[in-house]
Parts: sequence; C-alpha cells; structure tokens
Amino acid sequence: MRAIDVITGRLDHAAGVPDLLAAAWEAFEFIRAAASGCADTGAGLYAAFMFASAAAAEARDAVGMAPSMPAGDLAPGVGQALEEAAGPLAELAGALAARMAATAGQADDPGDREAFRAAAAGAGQVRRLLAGGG
Amino acid sequence: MAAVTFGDLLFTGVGHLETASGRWDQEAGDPLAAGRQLYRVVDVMTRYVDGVAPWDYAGALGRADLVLWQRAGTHIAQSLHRAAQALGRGLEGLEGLQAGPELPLGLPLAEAATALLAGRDLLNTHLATGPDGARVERTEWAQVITSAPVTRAVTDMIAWWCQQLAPLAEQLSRPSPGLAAGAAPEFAAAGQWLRQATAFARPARLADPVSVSDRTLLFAIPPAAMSAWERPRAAETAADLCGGITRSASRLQAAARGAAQRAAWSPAETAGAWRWTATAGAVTSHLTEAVLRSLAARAGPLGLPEGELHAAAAALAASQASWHQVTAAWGLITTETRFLATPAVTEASDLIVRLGRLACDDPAWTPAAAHHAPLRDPAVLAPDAAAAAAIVAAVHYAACAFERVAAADLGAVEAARQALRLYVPTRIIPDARRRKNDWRTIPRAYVIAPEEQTAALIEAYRAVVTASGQAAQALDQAALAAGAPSRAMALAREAFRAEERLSHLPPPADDLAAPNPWAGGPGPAEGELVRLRVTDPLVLQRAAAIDAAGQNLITEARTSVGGQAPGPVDSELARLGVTDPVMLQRAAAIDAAGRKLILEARTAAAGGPPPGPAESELARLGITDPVMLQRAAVIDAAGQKLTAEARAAADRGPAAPVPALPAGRGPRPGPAAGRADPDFPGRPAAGRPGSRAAGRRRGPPRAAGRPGPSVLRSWGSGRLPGGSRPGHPANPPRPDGRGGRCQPCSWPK
Repeated sequence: MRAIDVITGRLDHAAGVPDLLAAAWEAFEFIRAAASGCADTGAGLYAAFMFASAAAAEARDAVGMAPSMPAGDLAPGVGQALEEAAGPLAELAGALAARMAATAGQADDPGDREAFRAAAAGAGQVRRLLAGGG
Repeated sequence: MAAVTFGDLLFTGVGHLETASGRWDQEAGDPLAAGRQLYRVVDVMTRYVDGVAPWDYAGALGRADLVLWQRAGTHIAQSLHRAAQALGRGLEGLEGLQAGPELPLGLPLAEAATALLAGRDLLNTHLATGPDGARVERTEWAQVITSAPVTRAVTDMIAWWCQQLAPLAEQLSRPSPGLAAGAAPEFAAAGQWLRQATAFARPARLADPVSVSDRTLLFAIPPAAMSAWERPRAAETAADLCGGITRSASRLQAAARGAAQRAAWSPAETAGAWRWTATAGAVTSHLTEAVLRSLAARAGPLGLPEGELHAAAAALAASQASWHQVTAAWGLITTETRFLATPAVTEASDLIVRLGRLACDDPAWTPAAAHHAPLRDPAVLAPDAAAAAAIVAAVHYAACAFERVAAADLGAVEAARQALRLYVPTRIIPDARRRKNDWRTIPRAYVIAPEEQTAALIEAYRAVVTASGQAAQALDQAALAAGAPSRAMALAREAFRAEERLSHLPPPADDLAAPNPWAGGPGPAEGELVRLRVTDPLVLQRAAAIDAAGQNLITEARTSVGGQAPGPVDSELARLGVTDPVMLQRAAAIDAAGRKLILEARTAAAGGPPPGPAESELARLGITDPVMLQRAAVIDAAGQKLTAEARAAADRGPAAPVPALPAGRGPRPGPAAGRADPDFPGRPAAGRPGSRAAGRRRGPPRAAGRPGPSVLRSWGSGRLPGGSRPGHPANPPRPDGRGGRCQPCSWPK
C-alpha cells in the first residue's frame, strides 16, 4: 500500500477531535517531507513544491498547537514518500482542507476550532500550489 | 526614476563653484556678500572633515590606529576651522556675520555650499545616533561611508575644494571700496589656512592615491530613502520587473535589519516566517541561477562575461542547496507563536513573483504548479547588452539581499534558541516514547527543542551564510565585468571586504620595520612635543606642518633618485654581477649607513650640530643636490627650534597633563576654540596687519638649532609603537595593490 493511501485512510477513519488532529498532523508532516523531497526532481516545479512544503509545515504546527492535540507518541510510521507527484499530494491536501473546514464548525474548544481553520487554510494553499502540476 | 546620488549633488556644487570662480571679480565687489558665501561653504566643508576624522587634534596625535588619510583629515579639519575663524573675524569687521540679512538666492558660491550640504545630508541618512550617543548604522551603505576608499575620496575632495577656494579668499583681501581695514588680513589668513589644508593632503595623495574606483564609490552613494511598496502588476516589462526586483531587494534588506534583536521576544518573529524566508531563499537562488544561465547563452552576441556568469550561476546553485538544507533542518522545530506575514515575507514574495516572471515565459507566473512555464528564450530575455546588464543588476541585488537575510536569520535563530523559543512536539522525544503508558504525565504537547536539533539548524544557517555570501561575491564580479548598473554596489562591497581582511592581518614585527616617512603617525617634531606634554593645538599644528614639509621633501627626493642611489658597495657588487637580492640589500644598507656617517662626520668637523632627520634621510638616499639638502636643513632647523621652544616653556612651568587619548571620539574644538598665533602659518596677528609669520623668517637655517633630541633624528623611520610600515615585506600590499597596510588595527568605525 502506498504511504499516501495509509495517510488518507487514517484521516478517513479518525473519530473525535484528538484523533483527527493527530491524523492531520501526520498528514501535513507527510506532505511537508514529500514536497520537499520532490522539489529537486527536475519537473520545473521547484517553487511550487518548496512553498507547498512550507505551507504544510505551517498547517502541521497549527494543528499541533490545538488544545485537544494528544501529546503521545507518533502513530506507526508511514515512511517517506519521495516518489509522490504533485497531483496526489494536491488531492490529499484537498481532502485535508475539506475535512478540516468541516470539523472547524463542530469542535467544542475555540482553540481547536481556530486550529482547524488555520489547517484548512494551509491545506488549501498546498492544494492551490500543487494542483495542475501532474 | 533613478535616485539622486552623492555624485549628482557634488557635481552640482562643482558647477556652482566654477561659476563663482569665473565671476569672482564681480562678486568680490561686494566683500560682505562674497565673504558670507565663502564662510558658508567653508563651514560646510568643516562638517565633512569632522565626520571623516572625528578626533580632536591633540587626541589624534596620540592615536596609532589612524591611517594616513584620517590623519590628513584631522589636519585639514584643523586648518578649515582656522579658516572659518579667520573668515568670521573678517566678516565681523564688516559687521556682516551675525547681523546681515539672509543671502539672496542665486549667489553661486552659496548655491555650491547648499549642494555640498545636501551631499553631506545624503551621506548622513545612512547613519543614526543610538540612545547611548554612539553612531548606529541604518543601512548597508553605512559601512561603505566609513570605509577607507570613501574616507580617502571625501578627504581628497575637501582638499580639492580648499585649493579652489583659497584664491577666492585671497582675492577678497585685496583693497576694495567696501572692505574694512581689519577684514583684509583676516581674509588673507583664511586663504592661507585653505592652502595649508590643501598641502596636508599631499603626503596622503602621494603614498595612498585616490583611485577612480574610490571616487566612483563615493559618487554612487544613494540616499537611504526606501522606495514605496509596489505590488507586482500583470504584464510588467522586463525593465519594470528588474526595477521591481531591485526595489524589493532593497526593502527586503531593510526588513531583515534588527531581526536578531527582535527574535528573543517578539511574537511576530516565528519559525514559520524563518522557514518561509529560507524557502524563498532557495527559490530565489533557483530562479536567478536559471536567469544567469540564459544570459550566459547570450554571452557571445552581447559581449557578456560568460565565465563570470557561469561562476555566479554555479555559486547560486550551491546557495540554493544550502537554503534547501535549512528548510529541511527546521523539520519539526517551531516557536510558540504561529506564522505571521512579516515585511520580509511580503518583500520576498514580491521579489520571487517578479523574478519568476522575468525568468519564465509567462507574464502571470506565480509559484503555483498551474502557472508552470518554460524559461524565456534567451534572445527574448536579453535582446541587447543594456537589457542584459539590467538583468545582471537585478539578480545581483536579489542575491545580496538574501545574503543579508541569511546573516540576519542566523542571528535571529540563535537569539531565539538562547531565549528558549524553539520547541518540538513532545511526541518525538525518545523518553516520552519509552514511557508510552504514562505519556499523559507530560502535560504539554511541545517541549524545548533538544540541543542536537537546534545545533543542526544553526549549522545549516551558518552554511547558508557562507554559500549566499559566495554567490553574492560571484555576482559582484559578474556585475563589474558586465558593466551592470549595480557595479557601484559591487565596489562598495569589495571595499568593505577589504577592510575586513585588513583588520584580520597580524601586525608585523617591529624589528622588521623599514624606514618610511609615511607611517601615518606623528612625525618627529609632533612626537617630541607630545613627549614634552605640549597641548597647545597651534604649537602642535606647527610641528605637524614642519613634519609634513619634511615628508614632502623626502618623497620628492625618493622620486628624483628613483629609489636609493647606488653607493660604492652596491656598485661593486653590480660590477661583479651579483644578483642575490639579500646581498644587494645588505650592500644598500651599508652604503646608506656610510652616507649618514660621512654626513655626521662632516657636520661635526665643521662645528655644527648633527644633521636632523630630513637631512639624514636625504643622505641615506644618496641625495647630493645642494638645494634639496639646504631645504632639508631649513626644515630640520624649524623642527629643532620649535622643540627647543617647547622644552624651554616646559622648563619654565609645570608640565601640562598629557591629553587623554580618546577611547572614543571627542568633540573637536569649535571655531572659537584656541587662540590666534602670530607665528603660524602666516596669519598676521591682530593689530599687526601685514606682518609675516616668524616661521617664515629667512635666516641661517642651523643657527637657531641646538642638537635636537634623538627622536628628531628618526624622522625617516616614523615608527610608532606597534605600528607598521607600508610597503615593507612584513607588511603585505593592500588587496587593491596600493602599497602596504597602513596600520595593524582595523579601520575605526
């Protein structure tokens, strides 16, 4: 199974705010590392990948500082995803943006709501940077 | 529109000066207005040199760290203050200094003063005064303004103005209907002080000439005004894009300033912003490398420096890799506050958008993948040499801006680490992972970042500081070779680097110091007066003038013989065909010592005092020209007489305290300080108009001289404690090839 599919599956199956925050944190970190690794692949998308990586890191930190973010261990590693192209990463970011935006209205804690909103914005930025890049 | 530079203002002033000189006969018909114009321009000039050499005269004497032009600047400043005093007294005689009406507009010399004043104000826009009174650099040009090349150029410029103004002052002293009797000698004295100021620049001009690049650098200094922010517009032309990149680069540098001071406390300084600027650095390097490679492809048709362009492109590729490594090193590290768009982020964004539109074939380019476009055809990118030069300049500015950003962010991240503002998620801490079952005992999601992670981050920043600096330097070379509009900045940066290099050279061993009269320190007469604790600035200035005359003569002698004339030992070795440089050097030294000994023996046989330092030095050089030797004797006698007077004065009363050598910079005595000296340098004393100075009296040159102190005999060595000799093997030549380093210490800033 591809790493990106594992990440997507965890997002889909996350139940409750803490679980969703943890899954989103890992998804953003995955995008950050993948985009940074893809930047030098020579497809002419260096700027897009690099800024997507930065945006993903920012969104990751947004959910990481949410009040309900669990402080425990990382989930079992999904490995690096250097082979990912812009398209799949943009799709993942799009899914993240939708999920974060939807949950932002449901979380009880204002801090969590703010974190979800910021994460949705970051994910949207990643999607805009990478969409149409193949 | 290009910003006004210092050169623009200076040339405006020179134009007015030429106008004034051309019609000075007419101007001098109104001595009051003419004198006031002259006073005004001299007053402005004193402000220039006070800025160049902000030590009072006596304080400067005791400093061993001043280089030649700074010492010349101190002397010139002193003379200019005297000239202003004399002009002031002359105008008071005409009742015009205080009470006169404002000068009407359009008077050429007053306009010249205004232009000069504007130039000085322009230079000062780059400097500020901190809360503690110390000078603070406001822009990157501040380092240039205090550099040796600009100091040389400014001092030389002021000396040139003195030379132009001296005849005007002297012309005012000629009898005319509106000239009061007491004013004429004061104007004449002002003219002489101006001439003396010009003369003080001569040794420095000979030993350390002002180069074309020094003047180019001075003329190119812009004001510190920041251009307004302009959002990138659609379909900007290449010229617009280059201009926008330049402006954004300038604003980015300004935004980066002070980051280290803010990082410890400001919530606006965040890991997100630092990560973002590192990303911008990588992308900028990537795009600029592509632009330079395109330009290199046009090197042949446009006559561009292909080698320099490729070298700069390679350096930018290395810089890109280093910036990329910084973004990776950030990893999971964050700060307690989240990303806020700082001014640096905004400017870097604009810069990247314009750079991308310049490099790529899409006028609406953005970093998004949807706007991906191929690189522009090089022939479209740079249709002619002027366009290529403008692009090199824009890329140059961008690279320099990110060099500054790298250094600023390194300082900021180090400060944030010291302030314990860098965190990582608790979940990645191994201890927490091992205590899996009780992780809730760790109450926070983030903990302070471990040392190994922050150390790796700092190390990555250090690497990018080096790499981006090398890229900017490579672009300096490319800009100079391509004749890009940014070449003045390249010169400025080179000047600053030269200062940095000089400040790190080890001092030479004293025992290797070769004789050289231009060591930058006080000459024998000044040195002896300092030893005698003489503090009267006028007496000290007389000594300085005597020393300067001796130095001039020695320079002239050296020029006339083309170095040391061969003596008998030297000639014999030449006849034998000896080429060993060590042997030849030893022979020359023996010949020089022999000449000096013979001179001393002859003088002793004639019953006179031993030769003074100037005469000794000429003898050492093998000078036999009786006129030169006579001049040397006159100068030596003047120095010995002055020293004898000072010693007699010291014997009569308690010694004055030695002036405190300035740890910092003391204020220069104002125009009202000091008292008139009837003896020097030709200014008649009040009440004795027309009388000549005692220092210029004719008479037997040696009659007044007792055997001078030993320090007087060492004029030729000009040694200073811990000082160095330009041109000596132990004192390597300057990077610009203009002789040796002047002093072991760094250029005071």
